[in-house]
Formats: sequence, C-alpha cells, structure tokens
Amino acid sequence: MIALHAERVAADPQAVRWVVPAGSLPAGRIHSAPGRLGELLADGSLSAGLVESTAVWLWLRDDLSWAAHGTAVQAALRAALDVPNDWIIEPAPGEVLARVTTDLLDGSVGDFIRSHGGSVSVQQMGPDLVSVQLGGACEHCPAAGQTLRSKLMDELRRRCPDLTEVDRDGTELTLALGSGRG
Amino acid sequence: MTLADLDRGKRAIVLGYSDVVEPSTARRLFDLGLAPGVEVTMIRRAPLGDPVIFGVGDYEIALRGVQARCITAKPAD
Amino acid sequence: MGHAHHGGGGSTTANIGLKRFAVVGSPNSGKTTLFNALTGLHAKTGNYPGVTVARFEGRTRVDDRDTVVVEDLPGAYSLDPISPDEQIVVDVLDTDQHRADQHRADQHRANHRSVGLGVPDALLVLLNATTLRRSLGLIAQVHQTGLPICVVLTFTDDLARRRGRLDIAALTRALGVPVVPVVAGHRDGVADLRQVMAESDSWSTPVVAPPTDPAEVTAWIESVLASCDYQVPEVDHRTRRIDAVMLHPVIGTAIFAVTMFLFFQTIFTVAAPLQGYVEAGFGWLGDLVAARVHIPWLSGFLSQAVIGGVGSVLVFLPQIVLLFVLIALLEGTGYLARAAFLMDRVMARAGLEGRAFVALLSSVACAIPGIMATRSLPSAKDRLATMMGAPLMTCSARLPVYILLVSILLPAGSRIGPFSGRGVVMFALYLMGAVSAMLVAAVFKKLSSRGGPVLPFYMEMPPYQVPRLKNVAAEVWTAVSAFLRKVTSIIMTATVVLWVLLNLPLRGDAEMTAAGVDTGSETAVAAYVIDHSYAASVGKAVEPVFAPLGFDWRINIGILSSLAAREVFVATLGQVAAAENPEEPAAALTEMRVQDGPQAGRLLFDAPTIAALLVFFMYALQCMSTVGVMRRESGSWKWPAIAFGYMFVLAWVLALAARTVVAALW
Repeated sequence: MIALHAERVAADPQAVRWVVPAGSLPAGRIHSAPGRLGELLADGSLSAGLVESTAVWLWLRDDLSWAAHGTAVQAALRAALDVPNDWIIEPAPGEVLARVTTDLLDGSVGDFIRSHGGSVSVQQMGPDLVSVQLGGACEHCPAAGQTLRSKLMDELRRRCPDLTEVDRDGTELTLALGSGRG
Repeated sequence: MTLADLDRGKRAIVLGYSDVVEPSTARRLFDLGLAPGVEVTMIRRAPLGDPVIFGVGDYEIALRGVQARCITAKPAD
Repeated sequence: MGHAHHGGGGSTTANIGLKRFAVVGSPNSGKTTLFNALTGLHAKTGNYPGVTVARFEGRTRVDDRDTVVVEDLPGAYSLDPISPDEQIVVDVLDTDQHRADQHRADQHRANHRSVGLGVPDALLVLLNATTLRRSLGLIAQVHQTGLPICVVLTFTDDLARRRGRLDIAALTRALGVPVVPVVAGHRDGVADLRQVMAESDSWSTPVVAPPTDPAEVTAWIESVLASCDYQVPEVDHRTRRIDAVMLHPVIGTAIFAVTMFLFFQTIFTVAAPLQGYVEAGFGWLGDLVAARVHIPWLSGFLSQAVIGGVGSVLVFLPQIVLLFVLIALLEGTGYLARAAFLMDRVMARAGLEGRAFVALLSSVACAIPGIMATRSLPSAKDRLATMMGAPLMTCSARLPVYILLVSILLPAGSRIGPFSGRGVVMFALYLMGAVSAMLVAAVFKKLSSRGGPVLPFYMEMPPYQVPRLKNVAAEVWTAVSAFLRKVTSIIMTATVVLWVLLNLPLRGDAEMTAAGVDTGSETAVAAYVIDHSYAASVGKAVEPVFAPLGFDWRINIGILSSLAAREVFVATLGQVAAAENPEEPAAALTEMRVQDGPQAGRLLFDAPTIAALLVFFMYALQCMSTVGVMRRESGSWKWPAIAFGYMFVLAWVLALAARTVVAALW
C-alpha cells in the first residue's frame, strides 16, 4: 500500500499537500488523472492539482471542505497513484517552484527570516522562473542576507533537487528548476 | 515456522498469526508491534526456558512460548 | 511498573467547571513521570467504578490564572480494548459523535458523570520517541474521538543517545497537531507543555483525519516517519551488554539470588544498628517522662500509650525506609523487569506471572505498596489474585510481634544445629509467609479463571537507566508517609484507646480492699484495675472463640486491638505486663499464668500457645490500612471483606493445628 499522508497548507484552507513517496510522479501541473481522482478533477470538485517531487497538491472547490471530503479524496488519490502512467502532467516548473517556495516561506524558513527582522516575498516570473525578494534586515546586512539565502536554498533543494540559481542581484534571487531556461 | 522456533541471535519476518489464536491476542500482538512484515530478532531465553526476549524494531518484548508459537514467521535471510 | 502514585480518596465533584485534560499513552511511554511532573505530589487516587483499575487525577496550573484537571488514564496500547484498563480508556474517551449538538453533548456529559467518569475537554497523547512506529498507531485511533489533541513526545534524549533522529517540526506538520517534546527531569519541556495546554482551544487539527483501517494506518505511519527523517534508534547497546550478564542463565540467576539475599539481609543486619539508635531515643524519652511528669496517670499515659505504642513501631522505621529505598532503586534502574523475567516461569506454575513476584516482594516491606504494585499487572484477574495473597507476605509490622514471641519461646543463645535458634524460626516464618502468599494467590487465580478470555503474557523490557533520584525520593516518600500516617493515626489511636480501656473503670479503695487487694501496693492496684477493666470484659467476652487456641483474655485484647495494626499487639502486651511488673515487663510476660478455667496455673506463653500465636499472626489480616488500600485498588468492599474472612478462618484453623503439633512434639 502506498505510503501517503496529508499536511495542511498554511494560509490556504482549500489546499492540502499530500506527501507521497519521492518520484511517484513527474513534477508539474495536473491535467488529468485516472479513476475517481480524474473524475473529481474533471467535475471541478478538485479545482486544481500540482505535483512537486515528494508531494501532490490538491485544491478543493471553495464551497467544499476537507473535513467532509478528505477521506474520499485520499482513497481516490491512493487508487490513482497505483497507475502513475495514466496521469497527464504538464511541466510547469515555475509554478511548482513558486508553490514550494511560498510554502517554505509560510513555514519554518519564513519564520526564521522574520525572526531575524527580515521579510521575504515570492513572485513567479514567467512560466519557468521564480523571483525571491529579501527585505527588511536583509537589505542592509550582507552577512545576514547570505545566511538566510543559503538556508532558503538548502531547504528548497531538499524539496526540489534540481533547483538552479539563475541570478542573484543584491537581495533578489532568481530561481529555476532543471537547467534553467531563461 | 513460528517465532518460537527462532534460535538465539537469529532474525525472522513476521507473517501473521495462527488460526487458533484468539482475536484479542492477535490484536494485542499487533499493537505491540509484532505485525506482519516486521523483522524480529530472538535475543535471549530465560534460564528456566521461558519467557523469551525478542527485539522488535527499537525495543524488546518478553513473550512466553505459548504466545511465540502463535506468530508465524519466515527467516529474515 | 511504577507505583509512585499515592494519596487518599478520589472525587471529581470538586473539579466541575475546570477544564479536563486526559493523558493517553501506552505503558512505558513515560506517563507516570509526566503526570507526576504536571500534578506534583498532589494527585488524588481512587477507582474507576466497578473495576479493579486505579484512577489518578490531579490539578495543575497552566498559566497565571488557570487551574486545570489532569487525569492519567490507564496505559493502553490501542483503543481496541482487550483488558479492563483499555476498556476504561475507551469509555472515558467515548465522546458522543454529535458533539456539535450541544444538547446531546450535555446529555452525554451527564451520563458519563452519573457513572463516575469525567469527560475530557482535551487530550495529551504520549508518544515514546524511541518506539514511534508502534506509538503512531495510537494517535490514528485517538483522532476518532474528535477531541482536541496535543502530542507529548517523550524519551527524545534516549533517541539521541541511541543515535536515532527525528525532525520534530516535520512531525508537527505531518500530524497536524501540536507536538511538545518533554524530557524527564528537565523542567523546560513541562513548562512549554503547560503553555500549550493553556491554549487548548486553538490547537490545530489534521486537515484530513488519519486512516482507521490497519493496512492504511501502517502506510500512513510509514509516510509520516519518512517525512520526519526518522532514524530508528540503534539497539540500546548498553542495555544489551548489561542484560547479557544480568540475564545470563548462570551469572544472572546468581546475581538475582544474591540480590534477594541482600534484600532480606537489610531487614535484620543492616537496619539493626539504626534500630538501636531509635530504641535508645525512645528509651531516653521514656525516662524523661518518668523523671519529669509526676502526675501518675499522665506519666503512665505518656510512657505507655504514647511513647510505648508509637515508639515500638517507629523503631522499625529505619528498616522500612531502607527496604523502600532498595525497591525504588531496583525499579528505577529497570532491574525489577529483569527480576520479573527471571521469575516468570516459577510464577506461571501458580497461574500468575513475573510481575506478580515484584508485587509480592514489595509486600515484604509493607503490604500497602505491594498491593499498589499490582497495578503493573495487565490482567485484572492477576491483580486481584495477587492482592489476596500479598498480605500473607511477612511484612515489617509482623516483625515486632514475631520478635517478641520468639524471644519468649527461645532463649537468646539457643541454637538449632549450627544456626541461631531464633534465626531459624524467623527464617521459617518468612518462608511460610511467602509460600502461603503464593498458594493463596494461585488458588484465587484458579477460581477466577473460569470464563473469559485469557490475557496473553507480554512484558516490555525497558532500557536500563540511571534511576532519577527525584523519582526514587518521591516513591520512598510516598511509601514512608503512608506508613507514618498509619502509625500516627491508626496505631496511636489504638494504643490510646486501649490505654483508656485498660485503666477504666477506676476502682475505689473500699472496693479493692474488700477484694483483698493491698491498696498500698501500686502494682497490686494496677493489676486489679486491669483485670477488671473494660478491656478485660471485652477480652473475656470473646474467650469462647480463642480458648481452643490457648489464648486468655489478655492475649485476646492484644489480638482485638491488633486488628487495627499488628504492632499494637506488642504495645498492648507491654501495657498489661507493665501493670503487673513495672520494673521488668519482659519478665512479667514470661511468667504470666492463666488465671482461671480448666488450665489455670499454666504458663500463659508456653510453646504451644506461642506457636498458635505466631501462626495466627502469620495469616490473619490485622491491618486497617491494608483493608483500606484493598478497597481502593479493587473498587469495592467485597474483596477486602473476602480477604479478611478467609484469612481469619485460615489463621484460626492453622493456629489450632500449630498448637496441636507443637504440644505433641515439644
């Protein structure tokens, strides 16, 4: 039986991050999926889906709640993961990276940065690139910026092994997945 | 083979519980961590022959022969 | 296996209105330590209604304003109950699913309370970080109750020591509930926990409930552990190496035998010099009273009732403290689990198990901690059977009685073969007590074994630890304070009441002269008063019961008063003897003669009578404290009543047999 569990997404109650074994599926935006999961995606009950290397993100339609539908979605997801080849996933490295980065920054890494008086924001630039802007204390302290930057990069790399730093300009980082197409 | 047949220092993978076992006993063994798929090591036997200490994962459990005989297993290697 | 809980009766009525937390966890998850850390030494104990399951409840402050109630539920491996303990956990956690419906929730709460169960508002679920794979199954089940949950992670220090690893922040994310690591002995974790408890209304919950199907749960656990970088701790090498010696067939058994021998040696050898000091202290006190207090009745009251009564018992305090310390140390290191392992085969022949041996061993100091130690037995039938047998172990209260009687029976230098005569008799008494305890427990177990599923035997072998002195001190203090409470309340009351009954009614000179008593002689007057006192009337009234055993009214008073506590027997005889011979009460005892009836003139304390007395004290339940603890631990008066009844009958019959045998052979 496939090992998976659900995690809350801070700041987005309609989203759940389903942690699955690494490499189950290629990363990207979910276009369609087999079985019941596919049906839920098609009829809009699940409004969106995204795959990162170790997790599947699913969004419920706004009027539905995970408390009511979580178990059913879990069963559907489990069944669908048994047939990974029947999924259709469009590569969307920028979107995936933005999602993962936002998630990290909403959590422990962001707390770390904020506790040092810094601030950070994420933006997706085009289909492949993500821009991370450090502010606050990071703006004026080159050393702090360095520490925070490397911490962020370490955590990001754990979640996205093929992370590349495309550019670094002061407090702004530009990141991409894979070979980093411009 | 059952856990009762394990020699000292040998390891086995738990397969399940014998048919004659009471459901409550099977449940208890499962809860203790002696679940199907788990690797168990026979660590030592009491001087009088019973009970036997098994290593399960990160801890040790003493079982009597009558319980060990209820757990079917296959050698780990 | 810990019995560091203690205290008086339990009641939840005082706690209505306060927020209730229930502590859930498997045995060996550190619940006892956490509960003690939260509630201090102020826990109330009691019973769950109708079952032999002890209940612990206490209070703690979670921030500057709020006090909450904390209930330590029995250890449970799962909420699929196979024992009364786990059934209790299920019952307490049984929250009506429609909690949203306030009316039904209130109804449910009222139902719970009417059967004596408190409904928890939030749960503290203890997970042992070194057995996480197994422990997580419990969390999945507990979520089904719908109650707010906070995970308390224990033994993280052990995990680190054994080179395991766990990302606690990741675990918090994966479980969706607050996770607080707590290390026994460190206050920070508990302080953090208290803060988290203060915010129980805003505890996060998992976005999707963990699965309930066993196969799915296993997969869920795998996923959670993987996401936390869980590194299984290495085998505890230190414990393995120590066990290789301690549980070695030859060396281990030898070490065990030596440990037991040393244990029993403390009763006599080690404590003796300490006892001497206490004795001297009380002697000095007695002399002081005699010298300074010139009102005769007050002097008599103080020296006999108070100093004599209490003193004769406190003399044994050093020995009792030592025994408790030994037991607490053995338990704190984890050795008692090994003792239970070594003795399990032997106990199994009696239908019991190794942990019952530990409970019986504790009873050698005093039956009260021994009976409380039966909590470590998962099977309620085992608990009851062991409880019924525990009072037969030769407890320290019997010692003053045995010592007194044996010293009358055998002169100091007498020898049996190469051994001291007195020593041999004492050893025989201890042995008989132990054998009887086992037999009785076996019989009760047999009687109760009919019907119902048999609980499988299993015992977790905890890792060896350096005992935490605070816990040892707490356990010793628990036991000692219970003993002291017994001394001051029960024994003191009994000796005072006895003194009063022995010295009343007051007799006028005219009456005494008419009876031929020399009113000038204090001794003669005292003897007359005692012979015609209220106590004497009572003693003579029960003569028909005890006459076949060779007891006269003086011994009868001693026995009746010793029903409160065995030690009172010595104080009673002391008072009676002192009246007859204030200078040498001991001599008075040896020379006492039966006053009237068919055996008039016979030495009262002759060999057959002493044998009967010894055997009587071996078997009779003469301890109100034990009765009280039995009632508390078993949940009703039925079992202490049965214990008292069977032990009295056994005592009487066997005393008669002893008398007959000794009379024939002496």
